[in-house]
Amino acid sequence: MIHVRVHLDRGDFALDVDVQTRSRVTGLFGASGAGKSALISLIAGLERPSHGTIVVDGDVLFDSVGAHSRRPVDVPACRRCIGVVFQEHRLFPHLSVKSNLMYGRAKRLRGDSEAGMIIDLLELGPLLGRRATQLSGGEGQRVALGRAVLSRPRLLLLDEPLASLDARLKQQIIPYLQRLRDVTTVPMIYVSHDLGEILQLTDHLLILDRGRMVGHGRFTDLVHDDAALAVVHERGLRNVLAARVLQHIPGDGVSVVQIGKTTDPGRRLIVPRIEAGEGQTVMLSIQPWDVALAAESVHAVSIQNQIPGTVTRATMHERSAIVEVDAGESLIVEVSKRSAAALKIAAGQPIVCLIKANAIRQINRP
Amino acid sequence: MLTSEEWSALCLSLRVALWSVTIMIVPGVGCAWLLARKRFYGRVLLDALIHLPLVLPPVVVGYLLLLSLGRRGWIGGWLHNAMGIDIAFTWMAAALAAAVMGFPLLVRSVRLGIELVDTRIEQAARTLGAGPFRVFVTVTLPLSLPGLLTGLVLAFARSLGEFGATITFAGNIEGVTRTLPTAIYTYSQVPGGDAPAMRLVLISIIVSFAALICSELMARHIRRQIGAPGAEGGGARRVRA
Repeated sequence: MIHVRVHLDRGDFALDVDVQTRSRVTGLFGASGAGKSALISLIAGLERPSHGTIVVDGDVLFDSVGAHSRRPVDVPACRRCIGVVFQEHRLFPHLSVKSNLMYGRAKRLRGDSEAGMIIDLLELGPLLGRRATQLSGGEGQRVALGRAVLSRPRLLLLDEPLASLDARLKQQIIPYLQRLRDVTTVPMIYVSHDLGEILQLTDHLLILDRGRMVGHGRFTDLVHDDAALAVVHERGLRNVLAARVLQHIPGDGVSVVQIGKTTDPGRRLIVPRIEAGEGQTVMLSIQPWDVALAAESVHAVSIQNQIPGTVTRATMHERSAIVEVDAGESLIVEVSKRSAAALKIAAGQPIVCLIKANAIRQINRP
Repeated sequence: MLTSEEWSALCLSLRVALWSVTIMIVPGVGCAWLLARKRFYGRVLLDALIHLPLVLPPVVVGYLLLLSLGRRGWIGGWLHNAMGIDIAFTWMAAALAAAVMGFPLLVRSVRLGIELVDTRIEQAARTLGAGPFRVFVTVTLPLSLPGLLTGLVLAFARSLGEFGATITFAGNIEGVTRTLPTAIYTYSQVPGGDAPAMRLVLISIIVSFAALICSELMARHIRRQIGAPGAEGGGARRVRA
């Protein structure tokens, strides 16, 4: 468990955060300058809060007033056991990839099966003999990721690790992050200003805005909150769904995918042709305002997808209504308050989500 | 080709220069690190003190050394009485004088080298569990090696050429403290000394030149190893897709 209650005053910028999380992966989300990197620096011990406490798994890492042990505590970064992956890979340029990977590990690589497993997982084997200066951006970031994981951290902080990569490379790295999340047990805090990126890894968010925490919890709960909604709306609110490719229909330029883990034909989507083989899982993005709601199925309409579901929660906001629909996976839908009122949308009500095929985007390829 | 006096002057000069560089390397790197990375009370004073030999007349430095380390000096007297060690007018005095004079050159260039090391990489090392000493030895020092090398060569060359402080503190005793510059000076003062003086001048030029070329080649090799700017290819990262 991580408990951070810190205040940082840098003169022109102040950060105020009080958060407690047990989530395996927490997505730290906010615009540039919201204080995300500052918070990461404080937790890692690279910067000192003006005052506050930082406790990870019961260990007091920082305590300005001695609330826990009657004297101030400030564990230096090197003894915090907190791994950090930075926006730039920050590899040691004078060392080989192998030496970089083993820098934070006491053991030798030979006979270290766990290290071997991580190296295989991140496909670093072919890079081991290279110098850190001979890596491409994506390779460098993978090595940095491996280096941090191999130092056996009790907490892994990923500070916009993909921000310096182009969109194509980003999507190539995300599967490695997902594998790391699924195979290791280390808790992670993943920082990004890209909601789609975070939602591919976790639905547990911590939202920062201008140095203040505006929301903490499940994404589908946060969108019902005015302050949190305002921040995510500004920065590209979207649904991210995992889907399995069932079939390509080349003549129509579309593919059929199955959302959720069921085989229910009602949960199938027609989407623009997916770049992935049949049977593979891809991530899809659907913007909440691209989904229309109907009380029952509609006939004779160009919209290809009509997914039945149940309204689980609906809230009214300044400009629109946010409706959460359980359609196998949770789907966030944004409609005008007028339409919501016309349909008398309320929790528990059966509803049909209408989604144009062309409104669905594939955001990564396997 | 060389007379035995000329040989002894050359060998002595090399020995003095190597020793002077050896004794200043640890304090020099330490001071450079302090000045480059730490903000502390009295930093400006330390900086000025280190640079003083660069602006003082060398004779003044030699005289101050003589005052403190000579047999009647407060440190020299104690060394003589307690341990029976005399430093003044020995080759050790020449090495010490050369070290003091070359010290600012070493510190300046190591400091520049350390300042060029990206502190973000040092931060990364800290998050991987490296304490301050390990960060310095495994990251800062290797990455500032070109600066260290340049500093060592400058200090070495300065030691080879050191005259004023040496002659004041170590004297000009043939076979004991007569280094290349003092030997050249001595030959230039006697009739018929032009030829040996010229030979020693040539040797001085060759040794200094060789040191400079060696250091440049080594620095280039190191920069290539660490991918620092200035290596062939303009320091741009060679990216493989």
